[in-house]
This record gives sequence, structure tokens and C-alpha cells, in this order.
Amino acid sequence: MRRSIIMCFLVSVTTPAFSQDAKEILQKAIDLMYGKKTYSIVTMTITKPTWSRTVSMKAWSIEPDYSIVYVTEPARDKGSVTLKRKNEVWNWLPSVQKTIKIPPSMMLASWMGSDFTNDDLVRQSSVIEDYSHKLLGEETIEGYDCYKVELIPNPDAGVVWGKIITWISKKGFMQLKEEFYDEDGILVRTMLGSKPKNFDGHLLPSYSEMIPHNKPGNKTSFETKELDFDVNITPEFFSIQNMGRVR
Amino acid sequence: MKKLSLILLFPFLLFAQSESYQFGGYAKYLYSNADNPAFGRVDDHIIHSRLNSKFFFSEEITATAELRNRVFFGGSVEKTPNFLSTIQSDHDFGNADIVWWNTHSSVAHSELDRFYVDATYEKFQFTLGRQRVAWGTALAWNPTDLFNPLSILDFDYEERPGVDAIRGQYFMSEVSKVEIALKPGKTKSRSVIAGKILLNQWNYDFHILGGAHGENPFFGAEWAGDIAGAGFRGEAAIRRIGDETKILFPSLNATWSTSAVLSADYTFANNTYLHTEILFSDQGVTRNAAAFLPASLSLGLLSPARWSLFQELSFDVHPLVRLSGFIIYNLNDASSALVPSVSWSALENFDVTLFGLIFSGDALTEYGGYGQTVFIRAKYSF
Repeated sequence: MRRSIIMCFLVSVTTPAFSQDAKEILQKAIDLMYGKKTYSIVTMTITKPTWSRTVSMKAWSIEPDYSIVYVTEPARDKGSVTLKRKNEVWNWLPSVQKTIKIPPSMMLASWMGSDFTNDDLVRQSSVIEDYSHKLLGEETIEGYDCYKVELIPNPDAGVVWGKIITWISKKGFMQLKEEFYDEDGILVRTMLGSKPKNFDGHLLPSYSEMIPHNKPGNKTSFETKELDFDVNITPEFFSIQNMGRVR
Repeated sequence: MKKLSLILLFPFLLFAQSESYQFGGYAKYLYSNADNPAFGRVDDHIIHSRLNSKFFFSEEITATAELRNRVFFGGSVEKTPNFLSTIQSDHDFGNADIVWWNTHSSVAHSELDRFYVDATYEKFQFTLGRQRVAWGTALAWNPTDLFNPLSILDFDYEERPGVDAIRGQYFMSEVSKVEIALKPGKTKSRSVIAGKILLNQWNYDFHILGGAHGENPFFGAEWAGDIAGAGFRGEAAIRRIGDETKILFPSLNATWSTSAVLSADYTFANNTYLHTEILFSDQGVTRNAAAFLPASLSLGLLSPARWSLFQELSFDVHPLVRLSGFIIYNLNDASSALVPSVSWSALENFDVTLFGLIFSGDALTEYGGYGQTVFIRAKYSF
């Protein structure tokens, strides 16, 4: 079940910024990570009113098709590895030295009540195709001048949101804020990106959090501790052989 | 304990600051209360710790050592003649274990159940020592697992036993490989040599296996993939029945023994998990399974039954609390083993689990006559 969140995580951390022409801005934000060869160290924390849980991992990735994720925390799961190659996913369980092929249904399950949904997994491609985009204006977020873009789902798009509003910095096309509304126009959750850092010449938020509005005291946050670009990896790196070797 | 811990800790102290060493493990306590037809009501306690260590001599060469330490006390220790023999592993070339004490009421035992060196050269990988050679794609029963077969009812041994073997793998592509493993034995009949080819096509993994257990050939095949998001796997194995087995159990008159398993699982968006497996053995019996058990073990069967069904259901009642249950049902004699459990992630690295193990069945059935047991397990991982 944890695998899913790991997948979720990779997509979310790399969720990019947005449009001179609204759609173009959004595409630029998405392209920040597309096809990049990266190595990252990230921590996700699920916060509830009375408890919290943390998972940390190292990830090698060529967005969006290839990734290897190595779990470093919690101790119980340390060393477990997930390999994704296009539509296929495998899991390496070091305690039993066994590789298991993971069916798609298992990838989509959530982990310990994270505030992300299955929809977040598939959202990246969908935000361009399934929504119409409109530039609402400009606002300042976290000290950055941002484009404010509205996304309204196309009539027959099978998406869960009634509306998304997103703020994308003019400099660097970082996605610094995102509001998700339901079909009745009620704000359901907000994603906030902050603490932009220069990662290998790429300006990106090093911290982001998803806050559900109907559940006070809950949030899910991501912290990117390290993010290296142009890592020397090719699609051949993402192999069942390396799955058992990375650390 | 002190000696072994020191041996394991010493390199840790040396390397603790560097990237060339990894150290981890857990400590757990297992309490059980069994209502066992043989002993009556019995309380048992196991204090269990595990120390896992891994050294990286270079990018290509690593060494792994894992130490399992257990202290047993309670009714089973007192009532089982030679209790120690029931917990010791049986390796052909030395057990690498230490019995710290063995008294009427308590036994303390440590063993290295992983101890191997792993070397990689480009697409080749060699592993030498006590390791797991974990074959099979199914999740409950693995008839193609020649090296490490184990009952799924032994749920407190998460890591499963290792085997002393030499293993070579060649990775032909990112998702395919050939593999050869040799487990030498004290006698030829205890040796195993086997090879496997893994191929990936149409988003499925396919494995083809062959080898010999002693002088008896073995062939198998397995696959793993999905249908509409649901995991879909299977395995089949056929092996020649050895002369030793035939001498011990003259009623067996077949030449070959065939087993197969079919497995499917599905995880719903709310984390509810459904998993079904069915196991068939052509040498399995349709009645008097308990009497056939010794022969089935000699045949290397995972169950003495002709047909067995495994059904599992688990779901979250709270993000930190998961309810699970599985049942193994002998379709021929209607006996069963039911294992309900509830696990709670109490703290970041501390889990508490409550298990039941409920056997039911008539006399001489597969699961009849084992009674009921309740377990509580507390586990701290580090």
C-alpha cells in the first residue's frame, strides 16, 4: 500500500508551475520536470490533529516514465524499493529478498490517510487535456509575482474537481498555490508551495503542503531536501537488477 | 548474545559515520495463549530481536549479516520434549547458531539466518552464502519455491529462513534475466540445483524453471501480471518422486508429483484488499489428510490436501488501524485455519498486533486437532 503514496509523491513533488496564454503557462510549469533526469531526497509528513507519520525516500527519476524509489524511513520499511517503468511497477522486499510485481490497483491505494487522492496521480497529463484555462490576473504569493489561472473541466472530462485555481510564478514558473473546488464551488483543499530553492540551477519550491478544508488540523506536507538535475542515468538504469542495488 | 552482538556492532562503530555500512532491525515481544488439545491451555512468551547489517566494500561488493535472537519461556517450553530442536534450523553445513541457555522453563537462541556476499560485475550478479532464493509469484503458496518453502501459518517469521547456496544471475535486459542456484547438501538427495529464465512481455512477467532435487528432475513455470487492475498470477511445478520417498511411503505409486497455484488480488481505492488463491496437488489426498502429512512433507508439498483455498480480506478502520483476516480451507475435508488480526501503528516505529489462529476440523482432517491460539505482538523497529 505504501507504494502508491510513493508514486503519488513523485508526481506531486514535481508538480510544476503555469500561462502568458493560460494554457502555455501551465504547460511551462509541467515541463519543468518533464524528461529531466533527477535524483531527489524527499520527506512526506501526514499530520492529523492527534498524530503524525513520516515517510522519507530517495528517488531516481526520468519523468514521467521511469523511477526508482528507495524508502529510508520509517525503519519498518527501510530498504524497500519501488521500480516503475511506464505502466509496470515492481517492489523489492529486502527482508525476504524477493521481487513482487505490483498490479495497478495496488498502486492507486492511499497511505495512512494522506490528503492526496488517486486523482493526483493522473492529474499532470489531465490538467492540460481535461480543462479549459483562463488567465484571471496577477497576484503576489510568497513574494513572487504570479499568474492566477483558472481551470474549468471540460463538459465530459471525468475529473473530480469543479474548478481549480492556480498561482504560477512569472519567474521560474513555479506553482506556489493551488485551490481545488468541488462541483458546488466550495473550496475543498489548498496546495501551498514555499521556500523556493535553487536546485542545480532550477528554481523550485522546496516545501509544499496540501491542506484539506473540511478536516481541521490535517495536512500532508512534502519537503525536498535534495534535488539534482542532469543525473547520469538512462532508461536502462531503471532495471530489476538496480532495484536490489540502490541505496 | 554479547559475543555475537559485539561482532556485529564492532564494524558498525567503525563505519557508523560513513555510507559504507547500514544497520537496522527490530525488537518484539510475542505473547500467546493457546488452547491446545495436546497440552491444554498454555501461555507462551517470545522476546525476539533482529539485527540486520550490511557492508558496502565497494559499489560492486556487499556483505550482509542478519542475526535473529529469541528467548522463549512459558508452557510450550516446559511441556514440549526437546523444545530446542523445534526452533533450530536445519542447515547442512553448520547452523551458525548459539544456544545461550536451555533449561526446563526457558530457551535462548541466536542464529545467523542471513550471511552472504554479493558481487556484481556489469550484468552479472553472484551471491554466495546463507540467503533467500525466493522463487514464485504467488503470495500464499509457492510450489515453484524449491529452496525456501515455508508454511504461511508461521507468520511470526517475516523474513523466512535462508538457505546456504551459490547463486548467479545474468540480466539480459532491464526486466529479464537468467538465474542459476545451487544448494549443496551433505548427501546428494539433499542437494538442489535449478535455473530460471525471467521474461517480460505484454506487461507480464513469465518465468520458466528447471532443475533437480537430488537425482529427481523438476520443471516449473510461473507468471505475474494483471487483469483490469487486479493482480493475476500463477505457478505450476512438476517433480519426479524420489526413491527414498517411495520406500518410506509405499502407497505412493505415481512417478511424478504436480502442484499448481492460481492467485488474484485487488486493492480498492479505500485500501480494502481482497486476495484469493487456490492450490492443487495431484498427489494430495481427499481424506485423512493428517495421516498423509508426513508423506506430503517428503514429497515437498505445501499441503497434504488435493485442493486448498486461501481467502484474505483486509481494510483500514482508521488510518493507523488495519483489520485483516485470512482463511485456509481444505476443500476436500472442510477443515480450516482462520487467522484474524488487527494491527495498530501506535507510534512512528512501534506497532501492536493482535492475532488469532483458529483451527477447525474433524479428527484426521488437515487442520483438525490444533485448537485455538491468541497472540499479541508488540514490535519496535529501528
